[in-house]
Amino acid sequence: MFKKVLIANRGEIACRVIATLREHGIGSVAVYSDADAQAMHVRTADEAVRIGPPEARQSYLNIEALIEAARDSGAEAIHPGYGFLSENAMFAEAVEQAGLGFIGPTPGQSRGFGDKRLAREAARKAGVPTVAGYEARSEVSDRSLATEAGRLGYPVLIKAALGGGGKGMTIVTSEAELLASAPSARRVALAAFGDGSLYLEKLIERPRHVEIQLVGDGQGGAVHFFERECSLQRRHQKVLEETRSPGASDKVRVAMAEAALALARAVQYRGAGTVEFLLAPDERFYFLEVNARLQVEHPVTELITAQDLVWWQLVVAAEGKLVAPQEAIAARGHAVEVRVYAENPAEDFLPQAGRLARVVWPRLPFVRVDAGVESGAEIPLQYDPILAKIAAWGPDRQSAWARLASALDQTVIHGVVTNLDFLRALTRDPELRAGHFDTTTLESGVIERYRESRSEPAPALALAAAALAEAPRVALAPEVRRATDPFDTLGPWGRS
Amino acid sequence: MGSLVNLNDRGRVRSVSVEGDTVTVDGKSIHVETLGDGRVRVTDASGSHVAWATGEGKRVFVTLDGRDYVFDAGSRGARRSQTHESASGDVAMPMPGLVISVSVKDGDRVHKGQPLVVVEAMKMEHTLRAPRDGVVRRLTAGPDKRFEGGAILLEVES
Repeated sequence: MFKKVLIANRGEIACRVIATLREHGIGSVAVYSDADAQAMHVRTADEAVRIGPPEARQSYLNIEALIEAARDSGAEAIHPGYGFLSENAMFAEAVEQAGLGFIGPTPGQSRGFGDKRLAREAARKAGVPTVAGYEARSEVSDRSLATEAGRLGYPVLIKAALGGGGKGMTIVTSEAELLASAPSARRVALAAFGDGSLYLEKLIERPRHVEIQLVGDGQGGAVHFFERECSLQRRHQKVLEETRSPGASDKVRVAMAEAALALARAVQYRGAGTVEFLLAPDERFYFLEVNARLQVEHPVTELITAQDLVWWQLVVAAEGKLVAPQEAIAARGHAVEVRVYAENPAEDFLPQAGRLARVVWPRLPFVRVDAGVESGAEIPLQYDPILAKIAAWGPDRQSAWARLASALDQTVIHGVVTNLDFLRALTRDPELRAGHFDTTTLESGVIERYRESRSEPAPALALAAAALAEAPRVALAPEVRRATDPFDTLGPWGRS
Repeated sequence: MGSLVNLNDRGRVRSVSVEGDTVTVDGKSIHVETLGDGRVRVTDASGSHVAWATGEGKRVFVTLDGRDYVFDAGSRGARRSQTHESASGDVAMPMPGLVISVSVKDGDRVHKGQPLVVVEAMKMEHTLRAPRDGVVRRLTAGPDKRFEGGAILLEVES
């Protein structure tokens, strides 16, 4: 096993990785930009190395600085966390060329799964069902596009063949709409990706997003850790994740896990990864993509399997083997997690920055908090505003959800507006509690219902508490009270 | 000696008087007890509740019965801010990202809350609105331009 590992990340995931390193007596090296000099991950690791100014391109995305930091600190391997360089093949390559271990897939696997076309091909070859599609090079006429779309069956999704992330995606429900939309889709594709080729895909309506967690040993061996349900999304960003999936039957779960493992084995996948699927209402499922890294939502899987996925990653990277065989991985109960962000639900979830004057995490049994901040932390503007993940385990789905709701009620984050209030509403929403949702549910009603529920004036008790906190500060600043305080007409001595 | 606190609740200014351990809101008396570390026990006819309250900058944050409230401490001339404490009228990039569209030009008269710039950051689109009534000045934002977090995109001069 490695003696020392550098974590090329920040915030809650850096703290998460450090925890496993410490448990196993492995030295930890944090890296930080100038914006994070006082951050929790820096103060938690055994060592910390400055890698550059706040701007991510010059710090957390700076490959040279990260490798230099690893060399200088004597780290033997680099854990990339999620985001930043975690799925960057060039980074994985540079790390390995520097003689260090990369705790993640091979550079070739990062590249292959990073390219949607290659990923789809790999899935097809491994016998994993993919959504029916047609790639149209830029010279293909609108007429033949329409023929292909008709063959797929409407509604059809038009997207840039080289694109990703939802940019320039259009849904068309008829041939007339397709003919009207094709020219602008070509223009968008050309402008954004330098190639006007389009990709037509049959639209799966009202799908669920269900994914399979797996770990591969890099030699064709792989095990799975069951599924996660991640349908509750806002603008393609997951908000709440749980396992087991309330929408997948046992038959589907097994078939999905088998498909994911077939793909992992076919490419001799190395490390932790997730195969994402769309699950249609008719129980058919389709390959979406592979996330070749540890995912944000990994804690729910750890809660139901009692397996430490970071440890699995370390063992594969250091020793090229799996911690345990498939038979040793069992699921028990249910777990559900929410992502706590510094963002304001009342202002269209605009990211917030500032100082967290007070942070109080919930303390109750079977609740896990993965936090990257504590009281006094500054939330910089430069990075993803995730503050923490709060997850709860229960013997069944209802008790896990109820426990999470209770945990969120006990959570206090003051100083910066967060989405906590919104998350509390989610965990109590009857429709969500019943498990009746798909990837469109949050944005087609739930957020609106939340806004309405919060439109009432604040109750007197909340104002009383606020006034009590504010009164001493008002007393300290009498000169600015003038404009509003009726007593001031009496002069400073008028009220005794 | 008591004090009067004005709290701005999303545009509604509410006056609250604090007199020893009694707080009066809308003519209703509420008994309050400070429990330390930001905890406050508030008691009215409905019973006792433990709330958390924290003053930070110009705002007061309250968590009560599983709900969060943010008030502007109006008594100190504060005003509800957008992302930044921008009494100046600056409209700034909330995070590093890309400007998608700009719906105003220099010299345009805008009213508070009017959408001005759409930006993409963190894979999400955000609409930046006018922090106050005024005239657009020093517009640097343009479509497809990339900005650092905190960069001033324009100013609304009142």
